[in-house]
Amino acid sequence: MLDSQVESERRPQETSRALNRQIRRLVIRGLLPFLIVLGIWQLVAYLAQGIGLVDVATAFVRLVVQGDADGRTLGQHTAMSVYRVTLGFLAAIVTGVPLGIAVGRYKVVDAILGPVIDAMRPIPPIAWIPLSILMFRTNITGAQVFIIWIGAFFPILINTTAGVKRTDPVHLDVARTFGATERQILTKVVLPSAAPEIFAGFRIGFGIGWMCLVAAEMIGGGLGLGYLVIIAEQLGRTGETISAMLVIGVIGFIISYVFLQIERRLLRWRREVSI
Amino acid sequence: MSGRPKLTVRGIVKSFENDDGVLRVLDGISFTVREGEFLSIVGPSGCGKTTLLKIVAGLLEPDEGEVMIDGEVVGIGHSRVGYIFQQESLFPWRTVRENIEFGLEIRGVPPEERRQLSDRMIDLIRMRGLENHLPHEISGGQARKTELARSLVTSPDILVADEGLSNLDAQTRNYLQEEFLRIWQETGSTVIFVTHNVDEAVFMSDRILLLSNVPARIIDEYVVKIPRPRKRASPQCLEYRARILDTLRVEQEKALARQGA
Repeated sequence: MLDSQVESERRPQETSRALNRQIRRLVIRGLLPFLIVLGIWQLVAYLAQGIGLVDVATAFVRLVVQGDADGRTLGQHTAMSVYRVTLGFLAAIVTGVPLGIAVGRYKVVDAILGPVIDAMRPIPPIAWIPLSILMFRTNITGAQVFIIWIGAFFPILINTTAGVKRTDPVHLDVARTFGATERQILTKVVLPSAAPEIFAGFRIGFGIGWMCLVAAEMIGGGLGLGYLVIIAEQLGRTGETISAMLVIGVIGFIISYVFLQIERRLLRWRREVSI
Repeated sequence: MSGRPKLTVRGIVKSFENDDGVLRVLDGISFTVREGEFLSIVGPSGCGKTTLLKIVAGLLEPDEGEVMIDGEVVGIGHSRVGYIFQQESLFPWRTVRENIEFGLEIRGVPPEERRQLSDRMIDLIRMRGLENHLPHEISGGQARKTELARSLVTSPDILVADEGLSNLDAQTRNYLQEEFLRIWQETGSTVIFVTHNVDEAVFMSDRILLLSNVPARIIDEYVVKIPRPRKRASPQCLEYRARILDTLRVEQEKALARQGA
């Protein structure tokens, strides 16, 4: 009798406590970060040109609907940027993964290319801008994709190499006892075993490539979020500059999140193994 | 047990270079395993048992000597030996079934046939219902059985197990010893079973080879004439055990004396 009374009293209390926890979570992980971001931008906008978030919001809406001074909408700019980054990122995958496998698996390749990679890696992608313009001459897209490729290439390469080197020797022996060819060892043992590191390399590489975007689009090209950041500021439209920066931030965030989710799902086996 | 010779190992010598110079690990090892035989190799830790198995399996090249299977000399990279490694060796990204099918994939067996064969193995190791689990979701003993199935499914000429049942608790080990014997009898495989556990060797083997310390040589051979199924603590088993342990002790004393001199 007494027990059941206590039970029935506890239940609504517990559900309300659970609800409280839910609300707390939402405030801490969602609302507060959002407000802090808004605060930062308010501060930046005010310091830069004495404008407020409302002005930024107005500029944003105008960019989406009417477009910039040349009538190009935010959607067009964004699409162009995503296009360029995708090209650079794909080029980095196509070159970085095979090279990373070669360096990670074959000692001779490692001995020859390891020092080369270590010497090239510390050069910031932005430092390549003048050379890329010289190399690609009138092909501005080529020069831009090149910068993004430089940014994404090294994280992908380094992570792939590390992942391949981590392959458990006993797994290689297992494959050999079944008479596996080198090709089969690569596709059925080395690649799946290195997949977690390779995928982390994709995520980091995409992030850095995306950051190189602004720099790459400073070269010109007439479209792109990085270009918009520069050109709007030159025209004194700080609201548009901030809008473009915000879009760069949000898209970078979303893509990184998506990569992380895919990584987690794909690599269910690794999490438990590493414990 | 009087089948024809399945495996012949002749005059195997193998040395490794280390910081102190050259270390001779195997010093002229020769033996024969008959078809369907269960042979155990017992020796002290670090005496080169794994090296010997890897040479038999074509993973390592001997400095001298040769390995013959069905009267045919086999070299490095042959794939006629199923190998159960000392450490856990399942692919952690593959399910139990996908692990079992690995060797079949390597050999290019079509999917339907792979499935049939792995189904048979899953029943043989009595792991029906666990076939879609990942290695981290099964126990250590189940992992060992899956490794056994992965090695057996390609019907190797010989199955070698390197300390296959160490690193397991006593209960699981006893259970797996019986499972291993059951599967050996059902499949009629030829087995080389490496262990440092004398009880295990006596309980399971038709014949036992004793290896010395490094550089390893075969110092003795025991044909275990106890009818199956055996009982672990039977007087016969204990008698074999005592004789083998005596020989090992004498060997150990000799080794110590050598070191002293």
